[in-house]
Amino acid sequence: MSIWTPSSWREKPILQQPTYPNQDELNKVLAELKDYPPLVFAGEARSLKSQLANVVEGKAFLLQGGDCAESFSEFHATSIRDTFKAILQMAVVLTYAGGLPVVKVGRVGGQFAKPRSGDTETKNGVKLDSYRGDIINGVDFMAESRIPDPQRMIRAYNQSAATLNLLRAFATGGFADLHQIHKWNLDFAHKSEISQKFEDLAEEISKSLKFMQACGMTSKTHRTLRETDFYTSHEALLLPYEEAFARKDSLTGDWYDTSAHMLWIGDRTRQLDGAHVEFLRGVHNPIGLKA
Amino acid sequence: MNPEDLVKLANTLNPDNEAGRLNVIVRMGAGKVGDGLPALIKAVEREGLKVVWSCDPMHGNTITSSGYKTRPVDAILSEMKEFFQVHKAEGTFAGGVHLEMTGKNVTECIGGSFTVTEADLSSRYHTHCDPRLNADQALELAFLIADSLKDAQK
Repeated sequence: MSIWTPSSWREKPILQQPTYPNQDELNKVLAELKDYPPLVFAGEARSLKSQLANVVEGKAFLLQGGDCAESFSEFHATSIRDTFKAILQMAVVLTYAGGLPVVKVGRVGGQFAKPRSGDTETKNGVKLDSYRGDIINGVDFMAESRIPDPQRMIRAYNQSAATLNLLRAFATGGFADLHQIHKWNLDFAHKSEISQKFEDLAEEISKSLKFMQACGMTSKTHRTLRETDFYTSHEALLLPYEEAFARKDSLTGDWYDTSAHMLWIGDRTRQLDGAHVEFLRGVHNPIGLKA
Repeated sequence: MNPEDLVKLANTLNPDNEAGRLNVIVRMGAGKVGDGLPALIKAVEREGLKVVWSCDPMHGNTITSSGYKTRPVDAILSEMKEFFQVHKAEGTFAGGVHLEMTGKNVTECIGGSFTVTEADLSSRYHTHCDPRLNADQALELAFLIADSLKDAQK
């Protein structure tokens, strides 16, 4: 097999990419991104990999979830918090009722680019280039919005950094403490049968926690009661962006895509001799493959 | 995907067969997992490949209703059940789930215990792309998976 480099994908056939009208601007943005700090640390990707190795052995369960696509307009602390809460609730159900530790991975902090079934879309007789996700062009059905704009990659990076910052704070700052379990129930106007079922489970867990406290195990003494591990992932679709975050880990000398802990290859871009498989074969993150 | 392609891709993406490196996310659609998944599992087992098997019950179950793209929660739950059943029959581990979901009270997927109907789709349909499970629907799925996990450990 030929030698891998962060840019060796450029020699391969590639699908689902925008055509940027201004190459100079694109190159300027990519050079800027290459200088930006990584969003994740390679050691975290290795921790995720070792937790996923437990899943291979049937000793843990992987819960991966989040928005279909993140967007610039729906960027609020409350939506990040609510999705994080929903994942925590699901993880608690799986851990307590299913009896296995849960590896939690968000489709978040970089899930902006979307593969499309066609290069164009037609509405009321008007044909425009397809919307490819906020990291590439705008969703509005106007010719101008659909022009790919490299500056959107910078905005996506900044939004990802802020999102990750909040998620890290939630995961380790006390929000994910199991003693807070009653507060995770999302307070919609209705009280559904399912949220009552969760309330009952939360009550049982609270009793167990009281018992453990009596035995000397508290949030202060046990980090795993107080904090949780939460990882990020997205579809590695827009390869110029991903290449900008391919960094050589100073500890191992291995390459990682530091835009997220885990990356996946979509259904439409998994050709064996294609650019997406080429890029991802060379980075050492955990990789998802849609089948 | 055909089994031979999966084996080739796995060998390319994970040449050292490192456990935890490769996660195969299966998206076939309700009613199709029993036909499609066993051949993939058999090929991976035959080659001794170490993979996480994860179920994406979203992408194979998209329909259009009243002009909206949606997904019936029943189909999502069915695909998840089928995924567990096939793994149990093959003696392999159903390792994970991959979901499009939100903590918000959206009405994008129809069904679930707090029933979202086709008529509700227009009320809180916010997604930029594909329909997501709302918090209740996601929680309902978690309880179903928990039961299946318990069952698989028997």
